[in-house]
Amino acid sequence: MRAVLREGHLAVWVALVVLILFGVVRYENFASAYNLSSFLGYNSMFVVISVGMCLVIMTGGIDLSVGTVAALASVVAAMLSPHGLIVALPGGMAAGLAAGMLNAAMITGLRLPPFMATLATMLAAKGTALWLADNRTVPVDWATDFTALGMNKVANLLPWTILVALIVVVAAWVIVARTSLGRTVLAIGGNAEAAHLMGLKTGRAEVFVYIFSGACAGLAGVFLASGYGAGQPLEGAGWELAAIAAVVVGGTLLTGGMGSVPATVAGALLFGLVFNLLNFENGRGTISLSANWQSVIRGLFLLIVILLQTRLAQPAAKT
Amino acid sequence: MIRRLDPRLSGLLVALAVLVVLNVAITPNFLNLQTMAVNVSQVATIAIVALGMTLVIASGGIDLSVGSVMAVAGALAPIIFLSDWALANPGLGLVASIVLPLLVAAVCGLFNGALIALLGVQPIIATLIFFISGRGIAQVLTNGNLQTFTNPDFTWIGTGRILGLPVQGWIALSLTVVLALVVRRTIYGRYLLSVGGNERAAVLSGVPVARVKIATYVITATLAGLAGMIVVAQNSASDAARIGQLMELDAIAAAVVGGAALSGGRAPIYGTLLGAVFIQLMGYTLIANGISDEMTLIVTAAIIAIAVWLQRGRRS
Repeated sequence: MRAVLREGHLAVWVALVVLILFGVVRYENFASAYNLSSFLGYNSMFVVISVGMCLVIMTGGIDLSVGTVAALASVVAAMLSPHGLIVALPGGMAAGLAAGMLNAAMITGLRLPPFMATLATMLAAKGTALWLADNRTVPVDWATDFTALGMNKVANLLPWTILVALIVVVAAWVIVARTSLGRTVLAIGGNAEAAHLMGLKTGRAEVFVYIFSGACAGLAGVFLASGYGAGQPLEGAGWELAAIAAVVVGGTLLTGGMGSVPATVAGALLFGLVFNLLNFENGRGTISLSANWQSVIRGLFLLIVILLQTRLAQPAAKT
Repeated sequence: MIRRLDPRLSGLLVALAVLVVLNVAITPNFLNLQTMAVNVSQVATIAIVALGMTLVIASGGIDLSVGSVMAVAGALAPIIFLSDWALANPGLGLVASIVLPLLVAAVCGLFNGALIALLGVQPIIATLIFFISGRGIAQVLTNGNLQTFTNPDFTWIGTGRILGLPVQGWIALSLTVVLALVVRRTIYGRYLLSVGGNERAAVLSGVPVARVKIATYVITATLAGLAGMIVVAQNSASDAARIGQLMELDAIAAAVVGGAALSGGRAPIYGTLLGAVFIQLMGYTLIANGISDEMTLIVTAAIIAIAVWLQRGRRS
């Protein structure tokens, strides 16, 4: 099983490296500072929500609410932006935390299936975001330092958001690989009942993953408001599915019990990279794929990855 | 029939009755044919998709791709009846513009079903593929443009009236009756519930699990295709970017409020119809009484959570 796991993860990294090399060789501006920083800036949102989703999926659960929770957090952060980043960043994350706590309460307290509980939160967060924003996008206060997070870059190259995202990734990685909490998370996904009978604090771990995922979604919302200058109550549609796809591409099975945080990050970047490469290919004029084709190709890409994975995972899947 | 009524179903009926009485008391013009027709035409497409979703959920699966299938079928129909061939043969053209999109939708379902039943891909992931790419395919078909048309014969399925009520309402109602019979009276129905109830036991007792699952996804996709064409007919326009958006969530919500359990093994077909009507009527009540759209979303969320919670209470 462990060998299969490694093999699955290796494939993501190999694909990532191959696609990057392909881009560097084929397009002259691909490795430019501009492309790198805009790519990382945009995808830092998806990296953080995918990491949150990864932990949830490791427990065998799912979090459908991340997209609208991110939208809600972007509205909250934009409304708090006159007070500066020091208030708006924790404020937006608090909105995400609150949504995560709601999910955790419904799932561990009322024992609702994660799919339905987070579906309800998805609708409720969208309603709350629209209500707070009065059905409009909320402009941020440009006079404060709030937009620095999303728009400034270290050494004109690395956006601050990707550095913050990196902290989240490392934190999640350490939690999963090095703490008893992380081991409990994986044990729940492997066999929840057995984990509980072994005396592991399964309830606590489940509460943790949903709150963590909510906070990640909140952070992504702050990135959104800060990077694009507005709180956007209608953004985030389909983000949950992009995050799930990233987790799956990263080799984590939806049944839980296994998975890797770094491979999920690779999965998220791989997904974004497909888009990026298509844009460059269009720019060369050799092909002209309209924006309409992009989602078709994304779907095909996901199909190929899944077909490869079913072959890899088949011996392990027979439980 | 009455004696066999599920307690869950009767609870939902009571809730619906309360809503109706409440509306008669407080909502102006509620008992009005026009109000009825508006509500019926809005709920019919959700109900049609939710019926299929109920079957998929009963098999222990889920189908996220229904909205994209609606977009593909909805984009295809006008392309066919606006083609030169169909304009030359209006009769055949009309038939083709209804049959071909349904066939294409069925093929989408076959694709989902094959991934799930033959390759063992989890339903949520397998249907995610077409969820992502299906809408893209619809947009490629239409070049991303809004297609408007006038074709009274075709738009009849979305705008026609029979006995004062919209045609799509009658379609939804008859499909409900047919599928309820299919679930209760046919071998497929038995197989479906046994696959969802305990898949391993179903395999061991010789149920053709793969075929049952594939058939279920094909039925669901075909129903979604039909709903997509109704939406297009209703608007006399097809907008591939919007048809059926978020439909998967509406359909899942209707099925679950109607008593379907995500763990499978239960196919409350009448419950699903009532669930769809309940969600629609609740939304209408709130909006007709001046409560904003965003509050309606929050209330819908609460209803879903409560419905799921009530089910858990009954089972344990």
